[in-house]
Amino acid sequence: MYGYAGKILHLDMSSRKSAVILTEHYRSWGGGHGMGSALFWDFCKDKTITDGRSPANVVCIMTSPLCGTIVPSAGGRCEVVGVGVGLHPVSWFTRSNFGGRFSTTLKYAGWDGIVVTGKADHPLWIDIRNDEVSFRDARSLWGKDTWTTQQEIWREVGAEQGTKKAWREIRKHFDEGQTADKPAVLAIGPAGESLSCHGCLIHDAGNGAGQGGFGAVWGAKNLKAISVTGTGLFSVADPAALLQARFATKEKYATHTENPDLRAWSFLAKPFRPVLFSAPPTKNRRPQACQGCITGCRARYGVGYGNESSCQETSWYLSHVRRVFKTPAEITEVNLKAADIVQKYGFNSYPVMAGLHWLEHLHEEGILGDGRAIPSSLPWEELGTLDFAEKFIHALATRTDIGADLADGWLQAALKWGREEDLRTGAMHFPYWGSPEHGYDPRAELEWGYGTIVGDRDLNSHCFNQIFWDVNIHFAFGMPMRLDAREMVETVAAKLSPYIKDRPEALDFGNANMYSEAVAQLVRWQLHYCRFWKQSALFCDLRWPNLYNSNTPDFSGATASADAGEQVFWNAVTGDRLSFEQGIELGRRIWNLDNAIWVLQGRHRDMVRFAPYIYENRFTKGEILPFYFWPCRDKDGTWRYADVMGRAIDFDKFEEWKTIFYRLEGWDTKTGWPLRNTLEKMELDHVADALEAVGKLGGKPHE
Amino acid sequence: MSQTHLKPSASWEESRMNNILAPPSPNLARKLLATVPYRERLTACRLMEPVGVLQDSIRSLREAYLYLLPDARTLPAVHLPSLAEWVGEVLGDVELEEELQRIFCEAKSYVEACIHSCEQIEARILQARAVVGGVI
Repeated sequence: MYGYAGKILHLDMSSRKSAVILTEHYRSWGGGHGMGSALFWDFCKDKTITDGRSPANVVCIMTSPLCGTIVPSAGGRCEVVGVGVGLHPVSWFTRSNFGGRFSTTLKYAGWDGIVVTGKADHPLWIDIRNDEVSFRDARSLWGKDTWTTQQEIWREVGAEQGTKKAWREIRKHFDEGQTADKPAVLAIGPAGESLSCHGCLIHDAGNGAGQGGFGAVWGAKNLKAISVTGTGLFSVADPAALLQARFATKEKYATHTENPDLRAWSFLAKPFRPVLFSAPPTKNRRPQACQGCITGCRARYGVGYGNESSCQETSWYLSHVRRVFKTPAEITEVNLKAADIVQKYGFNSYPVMAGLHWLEHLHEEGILGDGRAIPSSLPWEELGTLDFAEKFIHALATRTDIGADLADGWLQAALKWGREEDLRTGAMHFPYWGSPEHGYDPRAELEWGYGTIVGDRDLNSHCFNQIFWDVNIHFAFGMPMRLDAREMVETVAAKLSPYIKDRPEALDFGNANMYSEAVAQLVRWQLHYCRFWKQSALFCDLRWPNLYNSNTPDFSGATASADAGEQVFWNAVTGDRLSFEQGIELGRRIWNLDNAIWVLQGRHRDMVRFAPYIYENRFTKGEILPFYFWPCRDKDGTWRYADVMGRAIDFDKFEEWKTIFYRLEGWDTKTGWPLRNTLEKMELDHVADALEAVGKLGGKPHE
Repeated sequence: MSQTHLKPSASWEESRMNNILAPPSPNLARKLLATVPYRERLTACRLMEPVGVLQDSIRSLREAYLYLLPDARTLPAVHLPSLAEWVGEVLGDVELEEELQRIFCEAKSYVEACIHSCEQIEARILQARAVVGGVI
């Protein structure tokens, strides 16, 4: 099997035994999320669990055939699936994803993924050196932060610190090659150990599987870390075709490095730099990328802080820091040191970004604080200082102070504190599944909001979101649009095979079209595309899909193209003859398996609802954003970029939209449960049988 | 998302010369330099492509100035008519409110309006400082 290592590692924490699963049994799922979902289905004996901290939970850490190759921005991602922690009303079977060198090292060690079951009776860490797998005592590591944990494991494995390292034998008594690499370690910190929903998985300094609460899942299994050293290799089916596609990407679609188009409209044709909300702390820095990536969205700095932090963790505290510190240098330093804090605690800062504003609101309103209705002895008057950041994250990571209530989820804490009204007023910006808004309000950016509420967690897929950025930035600067609205929708719609190819109305987010069949098809396309190409093949969200591209004369992007489309890379690596559309269909199959798991966990269409403020309050200008331009049609059918703010989601119309969506998916429109016919067409008969056995197959009499 | 290459147009400079505000009264100056209660804050955010939107708020004129200062990595996202209204209703500076409204109406783009608003607010803070003392 080209592109695959050929084996998946099963770790039974209860018995401390490992076993080999042959990858070929799961080959039809592609890799990543697809394989993970299929493995979860087979290995999880109780799929009704609603909290990932249950010993019955199964967590899968999965690579793809593209990991460890030179496929642009696809070689270094790793997908994690299992039942999560901290969502509401149910912690669904969910996913997370991280970069770095873990997935590639795992492939080089001979493994396509890891399945973790059971629960150990005391903390363990796993030492993988090619085929040799050891369960090792982690009691001395328990309580240590993620960075210290990794350093101690490196020492234990014999890796040397720094960059001037000697070759070392991977095993003393067997000729399995030598390496100078430090092991790739994935670890939890205090947040995961305390089973807090904020617990995440950290690899190296700042690659994190944040969302989903998988740190708590590992903590519940007494799994502190997995260390991998690999010296093997795997075969690529057609190296020449792989190189050709890589060159085509460079020549035709990607950034011209010598003459970059700073205002390019596309993911691939845009120059990239460290994704930091504040300025870099120093010019003395090195770029850091996932293995094989053309981007390098992180950096390591001579000043010794902020290493590998990017995006979310560099923003969770920034608005508070700006209020206290005034010079850019101070703001950057405190902000990046706050990022280091969450990395070391193994703490997912994503919910804190919106959540801390809500807590500030409660404090300022006299509700939260010392001797108040919600008691907290944290120094709230010092919000914005590094000292507060340390104490706040410590409390949330160790279940002390308000961290005790927040450990099970933010919505759970709001309900415990009697703050339901904050979900009506919007003081608490948590619109779906107890998860905070990403910054793209469901009332404006439909595909993000709708895709999240029919799924399992904040979508975090920027497929169409790039339109928001390109259009709104050009509007803000008063620059002429690189593509007018009609060109934009027609160029993008040409890529949306098989559901809405050449149906640009799917991208009309105007009031008259927001509950339409076309928008439902758009949401389906994004969900199915992501489930396979992005979350199973593991193309990176920062670069893919490439739906339009101002580098090319016709603005056509690389996605689905004959020279550098996703399927070209997949086929070059695996030797398959998969079409782009077959990849989408595979994504649909994976999505349907996930939905079946959600149904077993208790999902019904009546649960698929936004927080009340999304229905009851208009998204007014100035509430967060000043404008939100998106392609829309006038009454006469003329396309233009129009501001879609100022509206709420109509409850009844959205219920009708859900019916359309379920019908298109082949699910029961009354319950949202899948129909047997739908599952059987995808060779998921066994899934239909399992649902029928518990009375949850669509189309059957139900409660 | 760099804004620093944008310079005020010549017509803006002329317009600005003709629109120097009268110095604030000591009472108003003190209010212009104070921080307003949390409930009277102005909601705003920062944009950074492609990572997202950073929720934020403004509680003083100085914060508004710092917020609108050009930044090479991010774009302030403030509803400028709301900012003008906030200056008039919460801070009580009707003259500055009218000037900010004028800037918003006359600017060629949102970013240009942000830059000109920032300059106008800076000038107003300096006026207030001149009346009651202190530095920005």
